[in-house]
Parts: sequence; C-alpha cells; structure tokens
Amino acid sequence: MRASFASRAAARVRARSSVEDGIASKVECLLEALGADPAFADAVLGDLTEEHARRAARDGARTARWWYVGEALRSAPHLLASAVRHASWRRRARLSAYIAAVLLAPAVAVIALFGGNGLPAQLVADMGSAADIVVNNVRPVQLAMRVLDAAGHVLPDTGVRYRWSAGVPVPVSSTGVVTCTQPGDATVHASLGPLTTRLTLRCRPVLDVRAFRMLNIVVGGPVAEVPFLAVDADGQRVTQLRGQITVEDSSVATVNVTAEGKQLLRARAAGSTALNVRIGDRDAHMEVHVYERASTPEGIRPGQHLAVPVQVRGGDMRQWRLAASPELY
Amino acid sequence: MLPDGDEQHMPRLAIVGAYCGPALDTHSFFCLAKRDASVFVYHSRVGDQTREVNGTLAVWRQPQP
Amino acid sequence: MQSSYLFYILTVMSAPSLGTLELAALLAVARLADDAYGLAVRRDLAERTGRDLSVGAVYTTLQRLEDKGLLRSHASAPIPVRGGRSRRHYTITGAGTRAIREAERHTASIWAGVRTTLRPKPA
Repeated sequence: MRASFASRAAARVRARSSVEDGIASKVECLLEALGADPAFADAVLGDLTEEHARRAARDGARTARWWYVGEALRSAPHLLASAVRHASWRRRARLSAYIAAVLLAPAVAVIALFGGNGLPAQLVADMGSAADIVVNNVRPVQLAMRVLDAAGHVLPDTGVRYRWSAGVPVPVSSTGVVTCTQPGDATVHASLGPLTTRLTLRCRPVLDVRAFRMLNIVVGGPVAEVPFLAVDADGQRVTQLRGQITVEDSSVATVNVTAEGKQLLRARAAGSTALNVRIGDRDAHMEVHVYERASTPEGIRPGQHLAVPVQVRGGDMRQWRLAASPELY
Repeated sequence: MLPDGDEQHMPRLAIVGAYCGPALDTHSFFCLAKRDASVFVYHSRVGDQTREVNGTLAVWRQPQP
Repeated sequence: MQSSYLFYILTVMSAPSLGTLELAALLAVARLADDAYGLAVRRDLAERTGRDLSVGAVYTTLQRLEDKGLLRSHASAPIPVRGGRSRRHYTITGAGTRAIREAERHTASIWAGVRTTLRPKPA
C-alpha cells in the first residue's frame, strides 16, 4: 500500500460573486452545495443575518451587505471542511468529485476553446502542482514534465529543455537535472518548441527523516498522523514536503492522505507490519504493531496483539497474570 | 520495582516473573517469561487522587520460535 | 524456549487534547454561560484574542468541541432578527470542565520553576 502526499493543498477554489438582492438565499444554496448539516447551516445563516442587521443599523446597508458576502465567502472553506469531516464515504466521494470538477473546469474550458489535433499544447509539471515543484532531494534529481495535447492526452516527451532564470542559484541542466544545494525558491523555464512554462522550484532539501522506530495503534482507535519529522542541514524542521509512505501489509494498517496533505495511519487488523517514509532521497523505517481491543490480556495466545483499556486513580493498582508457554525442547 | 513517588503523575508499569529489556521505544519493553508472569499497572498517590487516568495496556505475545 | 511478550502503555490521557483556538472557544463558552451562541463566542474571541475569525471558523471549532464531547448544543426558539432562524446555544459538559481544569493544570505545570521576573504580568 503506497500513499503519496504533498504538504500544501493543490489549489484553491476561486469564487466570484456579485452583490445583489437575495444574497441570503444564494448563501443558503452555497451551504447546501457544500453539503453542510442543515442545523449547522441554520446556525451560521442566523448569525450572518443577525450581525448583518446590527451592522446595517450602525454602518449602513451597503457596508453591511459587503460584510455579509465577505463573511459568507470566508466561512465557506470551514463549512466545506466540516461537511467533508462529517459526511459518509459515499458523500465524501461526491464532494471530492464536485471539488475536482470545480478545479478542473477552467483547464477543460481552455482545452475546449483552443483544441488542437494532437500537437503539444501544454507542459505540466509531473511533480507537485502544475507550476510549483517541491524538491526535498539532496542528490541531483530529474525534473519531470508531462507534454499534453489540446485534448489533454499525454504525448511522449520529445526533448523538454530547462533553464534557470531567477531566485536562489540552483544548478539546472538543460535536460532538467536539478541539484538543490541550498533551500530557497528558484524560477525555472521549461520549453518544448514554442511552448514555454515557468515553474517555481521550491528547494527544501531534507537531510534526515526522524521517526519513532515503533508505532503501536489499536483497531477502532483514533486515527493519527504518521509521526515523523523531516529536518534540513541545520536540524530545522522542513514543512514543505513531497514523499511517499509505504505500508508493507495493508491488511494490518493503511495510510490515507487528506486533502490538506496529512498522512493518517489507520489500524485495520491486529498484527505487525512495517512502514516506510521516503522524503526526497531519505527514508525512515518504522515497525507498526496493531492491537485488537480486549478486556484482559490474560489467556493471550502466541501471535495475538491485545489492547486492554485501563482506568486508574491515585493509589490504584491492577494486576494480570500471563502464562509462560510450554517448553518446546 | 514500583516507584515510591511519581513526580510526573503518570501510571507506571511493572512486570514480575519475567526477564525484561528495552524495546524499540521508551515506553515499551520485551520480556521473556520462563514461568507465569504478572503485569501491574500502578498509579501513585501523589497529586490529585480523584483524577481518573485512562490508558491502554497493549500486550503482544510473539509467536513461538 | 518460552514466548516473549511486549508490554506497552499506549496512550495516557485524562482528556482529549485541545488546540489553542479550541481552548479559547471552550473558555468563551464558559464565560458566556447562558448567552453562549456562535456570534457571542465570536465577539468574545475577537475581544480577547484580537483575532477576527469568520462565522464558519467559529462554528467548525464549536462543532469539533462538540464532537469531542466537551460541549453540547441546543437550538433556541426562532428569532425575528435572525430571519426566523434559531440560535444554537452551547453548554460545557463534564468532560469539557475537566478539560479546562486539565489545561490550567498543564499551563501551571509548564510555568512551574520559571522566575517570577520572566512571567507575564496579569492583565
């Protein structure tokens, strides 16, 4: 099981709205589209209306109306996050498809408008988001671009050329081999014939990935982020990361990446497995032990992993007896 | 050996009747039980005695070699 | 050869962990008592922290606290100034009260031993 992640959201939804009558009903539609819980949406809309009335009396109707629109838009990401958190898996899939459609619509429209016949029409970075490449490698790394035609079909790379143009001095070969010798941002131009794309290369070299050597989690227990720390040459934490987390046995535990780039470790079934975090060209390896809930560890059989809830106050002591296994020889 | 006091106000773990050594992290250890063993969870009387502390005792019994 | 065992105390917790904003919101609800609803919490947070949080941010924080069992909520009767909508009032649960005490104890613990000259003066 392998999960890739990027530490920043891939893109932002841009919303534009005109100020006109019936804003409240539009905001209500927005909340409904975002899948907000009706009681939750009611509370938010009620607050907006109440504060709008107060501001209209104090600052005038026009100022209050602008406040209302701005506040509704400011609230939208939080409401979307809340809707996603509380939605069923099916609903989450629908929301994801909805968000993806909103994000992809401009690209699809451009391709439809300027459609071609299989000739290279777009250069898109194959690492990170479209024009933003995070490099955590210390050793030289090959930049990767996808060549697309106007319909969005991937074409073979027939020789994209690269050159550094601004920012921190980073060696960039014409074939796109980059060596992040220091942290910082650089601008790199990628070109293929008449096509040129400007990329922001975010050099964030990671010298070490520090992690616990052993993780213990419980089936049905809280889902936690994979605990690791990526550090640079000065031992400072690196926050912009691209990498992969691999779990050896996905029947025991899995890693899911959220839209915010968090890597959540989920226990599936009791057992042991290994987890590998790879950032740039550095790795961290962890043992993962998954336990199933039980009321007592007494009578535990070889190979079993049991997690027993314990509740104690000052002066309390609990005791359990564990049997030795029979002699084999 | 159970601690007399507990400045951190945290429950402690003790195992009797087994040979134990440190495992891969600071909170766990591997033990070899040649005979019946007992595991104790103990919370000292230091601090707020009425405060309940919840936790999980995880036990993994390795398969026989 | 006998089986070997691995023992481990996984998590020791007396209350769910709280972020700074969550704790501030929980304390705001405690202060506002019967008047604790979204807008009032938002005003209280703005006055005390200087942060202009959006209505959505306040409600998602309150909702998270409710999910953690630290708050419970109920809807009031419809109110004309809210366009006929009700207010969602929040109250602190027993777990919420314990979480506040725990946070205070934790703060006192991390300040323990620091010279008084280094401590911030009370407002």
